[in-house]
Amino acid sequence: MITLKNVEKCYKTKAGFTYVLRQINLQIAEGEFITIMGPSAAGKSTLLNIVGMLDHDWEGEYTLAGQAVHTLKPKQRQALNRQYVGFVFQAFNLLDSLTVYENLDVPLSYRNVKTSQRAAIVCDTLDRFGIVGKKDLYPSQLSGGQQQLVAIARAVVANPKLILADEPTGNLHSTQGREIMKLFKKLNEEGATIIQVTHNEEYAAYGRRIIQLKDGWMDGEITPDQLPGKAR
Amino acid sequence: MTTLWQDVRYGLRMLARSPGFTAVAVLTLALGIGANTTIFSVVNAVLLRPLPYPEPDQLVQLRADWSGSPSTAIGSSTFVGVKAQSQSLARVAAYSGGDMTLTGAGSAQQVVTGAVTADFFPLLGVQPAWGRNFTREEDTPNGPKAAILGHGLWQSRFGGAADVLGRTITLNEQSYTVVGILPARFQYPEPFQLWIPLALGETSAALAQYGEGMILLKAIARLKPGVTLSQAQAELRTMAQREQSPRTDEAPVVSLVTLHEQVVGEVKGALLVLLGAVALVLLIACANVANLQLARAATRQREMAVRAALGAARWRIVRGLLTESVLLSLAGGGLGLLLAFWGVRALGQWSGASLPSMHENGIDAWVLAFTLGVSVITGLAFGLAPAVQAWRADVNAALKEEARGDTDGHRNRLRHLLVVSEVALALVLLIGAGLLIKSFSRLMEVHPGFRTAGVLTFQVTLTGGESSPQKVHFVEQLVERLKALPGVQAVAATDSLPLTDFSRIGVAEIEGRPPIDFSKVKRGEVTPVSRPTVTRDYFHAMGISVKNGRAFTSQDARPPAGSLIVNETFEKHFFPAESAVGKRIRLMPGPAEARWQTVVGVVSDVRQSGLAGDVTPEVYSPELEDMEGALSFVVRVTGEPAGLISAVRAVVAEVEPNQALYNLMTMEQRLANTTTSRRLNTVLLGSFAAVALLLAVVGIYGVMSYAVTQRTREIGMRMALGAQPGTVMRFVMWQGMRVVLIGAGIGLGGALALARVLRNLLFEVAPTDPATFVCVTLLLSAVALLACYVPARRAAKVDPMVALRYE
Repeated sequence: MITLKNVEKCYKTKAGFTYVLRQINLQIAEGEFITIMGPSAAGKSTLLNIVGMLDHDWEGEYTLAGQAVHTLKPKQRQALNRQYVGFVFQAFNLLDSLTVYENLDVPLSYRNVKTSQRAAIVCDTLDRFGIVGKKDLYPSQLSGGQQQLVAIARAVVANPKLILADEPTGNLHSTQGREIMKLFKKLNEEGATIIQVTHNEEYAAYGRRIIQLKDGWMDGEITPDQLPGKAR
Repeated sequence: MTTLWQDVRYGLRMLARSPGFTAVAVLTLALGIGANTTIFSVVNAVLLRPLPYPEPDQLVQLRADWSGSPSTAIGSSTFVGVKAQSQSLARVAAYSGGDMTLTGAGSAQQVVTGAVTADFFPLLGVQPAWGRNFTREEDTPNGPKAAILGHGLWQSRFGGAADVLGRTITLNEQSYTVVGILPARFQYPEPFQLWIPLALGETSAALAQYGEGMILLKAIARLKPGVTLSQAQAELRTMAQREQSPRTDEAPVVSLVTLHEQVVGEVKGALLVLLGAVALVLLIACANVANLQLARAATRQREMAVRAALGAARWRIVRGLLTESVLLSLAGGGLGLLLAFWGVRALGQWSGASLPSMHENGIDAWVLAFTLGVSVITGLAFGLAPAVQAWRADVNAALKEEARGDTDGHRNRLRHLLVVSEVALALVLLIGAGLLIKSFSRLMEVHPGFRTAGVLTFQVTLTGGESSPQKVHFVEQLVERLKALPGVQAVAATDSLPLTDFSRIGVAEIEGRPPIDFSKVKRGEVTPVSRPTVTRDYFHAMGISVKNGRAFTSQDARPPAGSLIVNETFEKHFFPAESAVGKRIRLMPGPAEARWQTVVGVVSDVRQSGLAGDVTPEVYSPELEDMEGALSFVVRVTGEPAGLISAVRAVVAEVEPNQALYNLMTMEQRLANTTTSRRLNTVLLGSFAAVALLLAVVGIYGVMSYAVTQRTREIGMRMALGAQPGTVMRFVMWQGMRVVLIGAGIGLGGALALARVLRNLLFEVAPTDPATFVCVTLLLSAVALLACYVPARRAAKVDPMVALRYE
C-alpha cells in the first residue's frame, strides 16, 4: 500500500542543511500494523506527517495505493489524504469548541458527505465506540482516555484505509493506554492499515513490524519478539 | 449551503466563547460603521438621491457670470432671449423670491413667496394636488392675481380646508385667488411657502419698463430629450456670439449647471471630505480588529492545523475564519446602525440650514444596504489577515508547536504593519482636524466690525403699497417706540443688515474725476460699492466706530442734506492718500441727474457677508426714502437682548397690526448661524479624528501588551542575566515607538497630499500649515508614548523566577 524510496527531509539553516530524515526506504502492505520507534528527534513524527501528506517539503519517491504522491500537487495530496488517511495525535487535538458529536462530524463535512448520511455515520461510530452518552459533551468534560477514544473515533469516522497514530497513548495512564491499543488492534483486524509512533515497548509490540529510526536514518527493522523487553 | 450554515453556527459559538474579544471588536466596528452610516445617510440624502421630479437629470439652472463668479441671478432680457431662441431647451421658466405679508384670517404672517412664470410647474413635472397651475393670462402684467399654496402653508394657515380653492387671500394688501394647492411631497430647493405668477412682460416694450430693460431673476430649464448639458452649453455660447454687440463686455456670460449640482454644490466638497474621514476611521477600526484577530489566531493555530490534518481544504478553513469575521462585523454593523440613528438625528439638529433640505435625511433602504455592504466588506477586510495566515500555515510545524507560544515573525511583522497603518491614518485625520480647528479659531478671531453682544435684530417687509412718506413714518415711529422700551440704549433701521442676504450694489463717481461712461466700461473696470441705507443711530446701535468725521444727525435724514458716510475700505480705495471726509460723490444707478453728496464721516469696516467674506467699499446713506426690500431693525439693550423679544413683538403690532416681523434673533445668533456649516465640519472632523486617535492608541497598546506577554520569558531571561528594569522598559518602549514613528512619517506624507482637498474649507490657514503638522504629530507621539509606557512598565516589573516558569 505504501512505498517510500529514498525519502529525505532537511531544513536549510545558516550553517547549511540539517537533515531530519535520510534515505528512508520502506514498504508497507495493506492491512499491516507498523510501529515506528526511536529516540527523540529521530524523525518519527516527521516520517508520519510525510506519510499522512501533512508535510509537502521532502524529497524522494512516495507511492500510496498506487498513486505517486511525489508527483502530486499539494491540493491533490490533500484530496488523497481525505480519501485514505485518519490521524490520531498524542495530545488528542479535539476541537475544544465542538461537542463530541460535532468533532466526529467535522471530517465528514470536510469530505462533503451529505448531511443525512453524516448523521447516520456519526451515530453509528458513536455507537461502535460506546460513546453515545457523551455525544453532547465538550472535550473539556471528558477524561484523557475518553478524549483519545473520541479522537480515534474521529480518525476512523470517514472510514480511512490508513490510520496514522502519533504517540496515541503518550498522555494516558497504562490502563487507558492498553484499552486504546486493543482498539487499534481491533481496527487493524477489521482491515485498517495502522502506523503508530510510540516510545513504549509494550504498545510497540502491537505492531507486526517495528521500524527503528535514529538521527533520521532507518536503524533497522525488528519483530515484536525481538524487542528487548518482550513485553507480550 | 449546509456547511456554510455550519460555519456560521461554529463561528457564533467561537465568538460567544471569547466575550471580551467579541465585545471589544464589535464596539470598535460599531464606531467605524456607525460613523460611516451616519455620514453616508447625509451623502445619500443630499448628493445621491435624485431630485424628486420626473427626469431630474434634464433639469438645469441658468447662471450668469457678472464679475468672475457665476451667480444664479440672471437678467430678465437674458431669460427672454434664451427662452425664445434655444433649440436644446424644452422649457425655460423664471422665478424670483421674496417675503410677502399674508393678512386676514388670523394675525399677519410673513410668507416666503416664489413668483414664477406659468411654465414653472409644468417644467418641473409637478401638478397641484388640488386645483390647477397658473394660466398664461395670469402670468402677464396686470393679469388676474392668482396664488398656489404650498402644502405646509395650506395645513398651517388654513387647517387643510378643502374650500380654500377659489377663496381670496390678501398678500401685501392685494387680493389673490387661490387656484391650486401643491402636493405634500413637492419640495423646491428654496423654501417657498406660496407661489404667485411672475407676470413678467416678455416683450421688448414690457422689458423696457424695467429701466435698463432688465430685472434680476432666477431661471431653470429642462433639456430636450437626448440633449446633453454640454450641447446646450455650446448652443448658449453660439447664441451669445451671434448677439455680440459693442456692449458685449457688459453682458454676463450665461452658463448651465444641473439643478442637482446647483442644490448640492456648496456642501458637496465638505461632505466628501467627511465621507473620506469616516472611511479612514473605519480602516483604522479594521486594522485594530485585524490585530485582535491575529493575536487570537495565534492561539488557534493548533486548531487550524488539526482541522487541516482532519482533511479540511484550505479554503474551508479560510471560509470559517472569514465567516467569523463577517459575523463580527455584522454585529458591529447592527450596533453601528443604532449609533447612526442617533447620529443622523443629532446631525439634523446641529446642521440647521447648512445642509440642503430637499430630502428627509434618514435611514432608508439605500443606507441599510450601504451598512450591510460595508459590514460585509469590513468583515472580509479585517478577516483577511488571519485568513492569509491560515492559508500560509505550515500544518506540520503548527502541530509540533504544542504549547509553545506564538513566535511567528511574519505574524508579528503583519501586526506591526497594521499599527503603522493605524498611526499613519490617524495622523492624516488629526492633521485634517487640526487644520479645520485652527481655521475655525482664526475665523472666530475675526472682528465683524460691530459689537454683537447686547443686540436684538428683526426684519419686516413692508407690504409695498406704502408711499415713501408712509414708509419713513413707519420706520421713525417704530424706532421711537422701541427706543422707549426699558433697557434699550439705541435703535436703528437699515435695508442692508450685515449677515443677511440683501445688499444693494452700485458704483460711485468721484467729483473732479473723469465720469464713468457706462457704454464703454468693461467688466472689472469699476469697483462695485455696497449702498446700505441706515437711520441716524445705526452706528451707535451696531457698535460701529466712527473713525473720522462724524455720524449722521437728524438733519442728515432729509434730502437735500446730501450727507454720506463711507467705510475705511472705501476711503483707502478711492482716496488712498487723503481723507474722504468733505469729498463729494455721486452714486449710480440712480436718477439720471443724480446729485453730488458729501462724505461727512468714515466708519470702521463691517463684514457684511459674514466673517469669512471680503470687505467691500461701502457708502451709507441716511435717506430713508431710498430704502429697498426688507427692513432690518437693530435694538441695542443694556441687559440680555433675548429678554426683549415679546416686548418688541408687542410694539410692532401696536404700530402696524398687519405687519409681520421675522428673523427675530440676537446678533450673536445671527453671527453663529453664518458659521454653522464651518462649526459642524470642524466638530465632525474633530470627533472622527478623536475616535481615530483613540482606536490607534488602543491598537498600539494592544500590540505592545501582546508583545510583552509573548516575550515574558525572554524578558525574564534578560533580567536573570542582569538587565535592569529601566533597560527593559526602554527596550519595550523603543519597540513600540519605532512602529509609531514609522507610521507618523507615512502619515505626514499622506497628510501633505490630502490636506489639499481641505483647501476650500480653510480660512486663513495654509493646507500645509507647519505649526499644525508639528503640534499634531507631537500630540500623537505623546499619546502613543503613553500607550507604550503601560506595557513597558509591566515588562519592567517581570519577576525572572515567575517568567522562567512561564509557559
